[in-house]
Amino acid sequence: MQNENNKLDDLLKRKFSGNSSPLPEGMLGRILDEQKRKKRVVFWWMNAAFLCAIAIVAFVVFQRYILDDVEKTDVAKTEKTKIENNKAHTNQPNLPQTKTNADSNAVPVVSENANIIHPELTTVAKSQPTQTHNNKPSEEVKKPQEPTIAENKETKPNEPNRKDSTIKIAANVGEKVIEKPKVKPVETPIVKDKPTADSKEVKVAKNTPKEIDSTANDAAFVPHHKKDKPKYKWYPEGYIGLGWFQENQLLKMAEQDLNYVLRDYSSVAKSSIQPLTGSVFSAGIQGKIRPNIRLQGGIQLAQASNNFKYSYKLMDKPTYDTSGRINGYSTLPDSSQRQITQNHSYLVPSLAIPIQIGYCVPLGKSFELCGFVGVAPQWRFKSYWMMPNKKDIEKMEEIKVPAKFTMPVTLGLGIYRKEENYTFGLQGRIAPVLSNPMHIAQGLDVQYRRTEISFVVGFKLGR
Amino acid sequence: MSLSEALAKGDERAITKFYETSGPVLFTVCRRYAQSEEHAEDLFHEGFMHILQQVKKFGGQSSLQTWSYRVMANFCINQIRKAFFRIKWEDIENARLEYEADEVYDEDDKISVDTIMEYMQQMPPGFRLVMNMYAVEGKTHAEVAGILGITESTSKSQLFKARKWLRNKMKGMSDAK
Repeated sequence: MQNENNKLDDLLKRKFSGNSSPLPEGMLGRILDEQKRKKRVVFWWMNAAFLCAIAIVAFVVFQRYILDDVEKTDVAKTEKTKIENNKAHTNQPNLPQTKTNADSNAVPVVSENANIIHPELTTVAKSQPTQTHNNKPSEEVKKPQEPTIAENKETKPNEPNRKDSTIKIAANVGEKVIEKPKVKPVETPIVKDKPTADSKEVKVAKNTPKEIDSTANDAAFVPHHKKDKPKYKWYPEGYIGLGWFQENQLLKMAEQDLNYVLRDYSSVAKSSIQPLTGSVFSAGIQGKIRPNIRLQGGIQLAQASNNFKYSYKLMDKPTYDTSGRINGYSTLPDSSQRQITQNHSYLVPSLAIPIQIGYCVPLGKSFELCGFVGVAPQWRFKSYWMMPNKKDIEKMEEIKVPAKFTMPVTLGLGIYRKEENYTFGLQGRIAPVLSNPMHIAQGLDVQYRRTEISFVVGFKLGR
Repeated sequence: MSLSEALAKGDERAITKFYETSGPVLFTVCRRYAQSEEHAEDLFHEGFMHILQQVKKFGGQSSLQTWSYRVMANFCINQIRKAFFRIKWEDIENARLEYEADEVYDEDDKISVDTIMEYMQQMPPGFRLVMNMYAVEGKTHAEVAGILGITESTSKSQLFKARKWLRNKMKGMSDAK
C-alpha cells in the first residue's frame, strides 16, 4: 500500500515537475505598474523627509533667532520704561533717595531721609508706570525709636495690602512704616518677566549692594551671556518675479515594442518631443532672517508650451488580435510607405509653491550673492500629449494627461541689489533630480527637470 | 550586470526578461497552492513582487530560477496559512493509515496536468498544503510540521486524507470514462 501511495506521489511529481502554465494576460503590465508605484512612493517619502528637514531647520532658526530678537527688544523696552520711571521717582525732592540693597545680612537699605530699613524685610514691589508717588508725603516716614529686627517673612502674593504699589516695612513693629518707592530690581534673573496683578512683588536678590545707575542704558538689562550677540530683527518683504523656464522631458519607454502603434515609436518620440518652454510669474515673501540667511517662499504660476514635431517614415503597420491588442507588425508595401509630418503645440499650466533657504555673501556695498536649497511642490494641471493614433497610424491622437503632483528638490543661485526701499534680484533655479514618472499612454512615461531664471523685485511690507 | 542585480535595481527590461523566463514555472506553483485561477493570479502577482523585493538578498548559491521557485512556494504557503488560519488540522492515528490507501490505476497517467491542478484547487486548504509540500516538493513530514506549526502525525493524517480525496476524484473520472 505504501508503494501505491508512492505511486500517487510520483505521479504528481511527474506531472508537475517542470510544468509551466501560460501567464495571465496583462500580468506583466500590472507588475510593472506596481513597481513604478513603489518607486514613486520611495520618491515621495524622500521628498517628504527633505521637506520635513527644511521645516525643522526653518523652525529652529525662527525660534532661536527671530523670537529671541523680538523678546530681547520687548524686554529692553520694558526695562527702559522702568528706568525712566525710577529716574522720575528719584528726582522727586521730597522723596528719599533710595539705594537698593541686596545684601540682607549686612548692609541695610538706606534712605537718605535718615530711615534705616532692616534688610530682611526688604521686599519691594515692581514699579507701576501709571502710579506716581507725589501724593505720598514724606511725613509718613517715621523714624524708628530703635532699629528693630523684624521677622523675615515672605509676602504672600494674594495679600490685599501687597497689591498696593508701595510696601510697608517692619509692620509688625508698628512703629515705623515706610512707604518705599518701588524700585526695579537690578538682578534680572529674579525679575518676573510678566507680573500679574497678584504678583507685583519682586524680592531683591541677596547680593552685594548695588546702586541704581540712573544713567544705565538698555544694555544693562540684557543678560550678560547675551550681551555680545548682535540684535537682528527680520523684516520680511514681499516680492514679485517674472521669468522664463525650460523643462527637459525624459521619455521612458517600456521595452515592449507591442505597446506602441509605431514599431519604432521610441526613436520617433525621442526625436520629436521638444523641451517645454514657458514663462513663470511668482509672488511671495522673502527676507533675510539673519544677516546672511535669506528665506523665500510663495506661489509660482507657470505656463509652458509643449511642442510635438513628428516626422517619420511610415513603414509598418500593427496587426491586432481579436481583443484589439497589438500582436505584431506587418511591413507596408513600398507604394504605401510615406513620410508623415505632424506639428502640434499644447499649453501646460502648472502651479508651484517654492520654498527655499539660502546663504548669502556680500559683493561690495550694494550687492550680495545667495545660494539656495529648497523644494517646490508642483501641481501640473491637465494637459495633452500627441501620439500616433491606434486606429489610423497616419494621424495623431490627442492623449489627455491628467493633473499630476510632483515635489522636486531645487537648487538656486541669486544675485541681489539692495536699495533703500527695494531689492532687485536675478535668480536661477534648477531641479537636480528628475520628477517622478508621469504615465502618458502606450507604455510611455515622462519625467521632467526644470531650469528657470527670474527677475525679482522685493519691497518692504508695512514697516 | 547580472540579471539578479538588474532586478534588484528595478530595471524594467530585466523584470520583463525574468517574467518571461521564470514566470510560467512560478505561476504553476501558485496554481498548485491556490483554490482557484483568480486566487492563483493574485498569489502570482503578490509573490512576484515579493521576489523582486527580496532579490537583493539572493546570494547566488543556486540558480535564480531555483531560488525564486523556493521563494514563491514559501510565499504561497504563508499566504494560504494566513488566509485559512482556521484550518482544522484533524489528527488521526498513524496506525490506521496503512489500511486506508487505494490502488493507482494505469489511466491516472493519462489525466492531464490541468485536471489534476483543478482537483488540487478543489481540495480543502489543509490537504492542499500538505500534499503540495510533501508529495510534490519532497519535504519530509518533520519539515512540513515545522513550517505549518503542526505535529508530524497531523501532517501524516492530512496527507493521507488528501491522497484519499484525490484518489476518489481520479477514480471518479476514470469510472466516468
